[in-house]
Amino acid sequence: MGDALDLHRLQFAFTIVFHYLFPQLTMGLAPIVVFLKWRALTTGEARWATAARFWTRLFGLNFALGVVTGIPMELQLGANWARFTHLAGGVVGQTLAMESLFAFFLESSFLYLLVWGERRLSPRAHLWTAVALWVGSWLSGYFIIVTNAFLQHPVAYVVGLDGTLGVTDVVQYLLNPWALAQYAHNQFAALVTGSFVVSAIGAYWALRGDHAEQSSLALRVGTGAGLLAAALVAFPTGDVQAKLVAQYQPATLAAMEGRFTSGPYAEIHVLGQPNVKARRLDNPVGVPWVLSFLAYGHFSSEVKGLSEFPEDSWPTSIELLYYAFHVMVGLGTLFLAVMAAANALRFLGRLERTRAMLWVLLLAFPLPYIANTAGWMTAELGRQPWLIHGVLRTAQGHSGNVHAGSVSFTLLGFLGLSLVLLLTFTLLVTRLIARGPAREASAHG
Amino acid sequence: MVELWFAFALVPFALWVVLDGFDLGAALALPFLARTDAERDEVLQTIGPYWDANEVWLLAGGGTLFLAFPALLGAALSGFYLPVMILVWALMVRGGALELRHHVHEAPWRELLTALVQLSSGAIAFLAAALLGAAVLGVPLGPDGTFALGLFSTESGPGALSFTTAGIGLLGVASVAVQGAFFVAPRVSAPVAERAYALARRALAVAGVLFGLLLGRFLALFPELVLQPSSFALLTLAVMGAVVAFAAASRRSPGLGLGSASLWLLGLTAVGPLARYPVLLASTEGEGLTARAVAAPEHSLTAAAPWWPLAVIVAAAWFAVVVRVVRRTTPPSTTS
Repeated sequence: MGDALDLHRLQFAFTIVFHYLFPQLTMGLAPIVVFLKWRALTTGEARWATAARFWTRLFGLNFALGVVTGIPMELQLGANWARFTHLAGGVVGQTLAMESLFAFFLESSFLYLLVWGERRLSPRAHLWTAVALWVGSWLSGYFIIVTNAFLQHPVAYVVGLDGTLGVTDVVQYLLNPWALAQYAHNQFAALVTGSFVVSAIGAYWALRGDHAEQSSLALRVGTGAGLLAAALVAFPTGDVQAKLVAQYQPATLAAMEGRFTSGPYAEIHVLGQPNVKARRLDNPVGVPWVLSFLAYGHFSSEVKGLSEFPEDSWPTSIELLYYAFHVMVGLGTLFLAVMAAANALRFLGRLERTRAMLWVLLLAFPLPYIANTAGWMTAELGRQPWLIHGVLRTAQGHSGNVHAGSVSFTLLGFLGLSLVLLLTFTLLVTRLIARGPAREASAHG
Repeated sequence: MVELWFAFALVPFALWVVLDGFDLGAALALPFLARTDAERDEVLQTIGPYWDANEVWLLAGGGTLFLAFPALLGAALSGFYLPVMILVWALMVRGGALELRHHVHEAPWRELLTALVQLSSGAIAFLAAALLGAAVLGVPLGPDGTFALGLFSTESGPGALSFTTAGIGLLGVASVAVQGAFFVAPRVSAPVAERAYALARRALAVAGVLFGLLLGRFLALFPELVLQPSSFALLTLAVMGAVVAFAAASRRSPGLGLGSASLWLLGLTAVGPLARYPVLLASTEGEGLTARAVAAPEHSLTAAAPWWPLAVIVAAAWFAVVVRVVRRTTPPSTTS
């Protein structure tokens, strides 16, 4: 690991993966908190208010970790990716500045009032602070997705004589078709995380025989939102995203599927290990025709294999990309099955008594985090060897003036700091869940 | 267009210095302000609703540089890599500790988190001021517009922290402590408020001594920069602010104190960048990076000119709403 470039990449990859553990729950939980507070206001029933209070407290803790782990992101672009910043700042800087001005201020201003202001505000005003956090966190996500979409599929830019990129039309840049598809896919994926966490905590209380009313409410809201989100994340949003990859990043699609040769009636692989040296997929188990249909809408469509593309445009980690994609799709399918089963049992009125299902719901909560991470790894590894697809290579974007020794030092620092944050967060969340919603029966602040 | 964006970029940084200045100052001066756990809570409660939004002005400033002067941001953050990363860690520790304090009630936990808030606040004020100073003093810029500076100066070469920049860092710490004291004073119980006014006077005295030493140093290094009319005017304004702030501390007049201390902070922060303009990053090897050389393409500057001011107004409006709500709803017992 003497190469500074690899260390720059590893540090960014680690810090962003760790960071995104928190915002995905923030964005997934925000609409659920708003729903609970809205029900509390309209029904006047105490159980909704108690639930809203418990989830707001968890939301606040999780949000804080999102803020803290998010601080290094923008700064690392300048510090570790200075050449990229120099060349592309005129474009991606637009959305990064928008994020801080339009989203961060909304979030940071109202978070305190949401978490600690219930007694100070009227129930209606307090509901509005929750709405502000929902809007803020989802706006923040949109600006980041637009920034990433520009790297995946650059639009609305010009290249100057000195190689720097300028934006030609902000609206066109903001409405990048790639961004719209990716955003929809990503937000439902975040809602999957949120609803699985709510269901898991509901299941935990039910298994313990505690907080019967609240556990039943959490299971109801969690599995209801979970089924909706798990379905929408696959179709239409995942489907649209796959078609965009097929259209604009055909080499990436081939690598995601471990497909080395071209042909019609292409199969999708359920199992198999990409053997890049031998240019084949070992032990393949596939379903014929499906990939052609998913990528282009016809079973007979030709899907290109990697052999069609020059090797220097192949994604640099084909193995990791292949597994990231398959883990995401595999887990996505599992989510749909789990939530369908849970909702069927709920419909029959037997969910709270079916301990096997409760155990599944409880143990499933880490899986959406893995699926979200795998999804982002698919997007980011699939973009390689480009930093900006077709415009700037990753190997040309990092800071040439920061050497491997400095990056190793800061990478270790981030690893240590993250470990401490994660342990503290886990401890506090476990305590919060163990105490349960009963403690939240009275308002804070 | 480049001049306009330079003016724009000053806005979030100025707001950051004044606003985060009071919450950083209140936190780093805790040992002087509070003696018991209850008093420490009292002080930290006053900044609770505000510190996060205040800190966002730093990120907004970074975002604005990203958009308007990307080559400056890249050169400065990568050139000052280690101190910048330590600043990032301090920001992370501070945010984490301030938020987690709300979620724990056991004394050892709170003691640890309070200490972390205090130390990280000090580190942030110190490093931010020192780095601004280092950029104004000049860095060893290479022909490709980049540089690499270690953490501190050694025999083998210069670093971001030297006696001069460390002095500037300490001046920053002392100055935000004044700001923090005036913010805290009207919002806490009488004994804490008394200590806050005493702290304001003492911190101003320390800042005054440091200012005198640094002024001498800068006069020796860059007499033409210090004596040009705009620098002279800003420094005079800053000194007037300090004098009024001292009087305000003696008369226990927090509003006047906060206003005049802000003037002191703003004058000190702005004098370097304005004296150097159109150079944004001074070089010890040559001309340095000018605003025009590091600006984003004209297309980008023109595209962002309409939405950026609007965004700042919207951001300030959210903050104003929160200030109003907190003012209107803070129970009278804690306002003394």
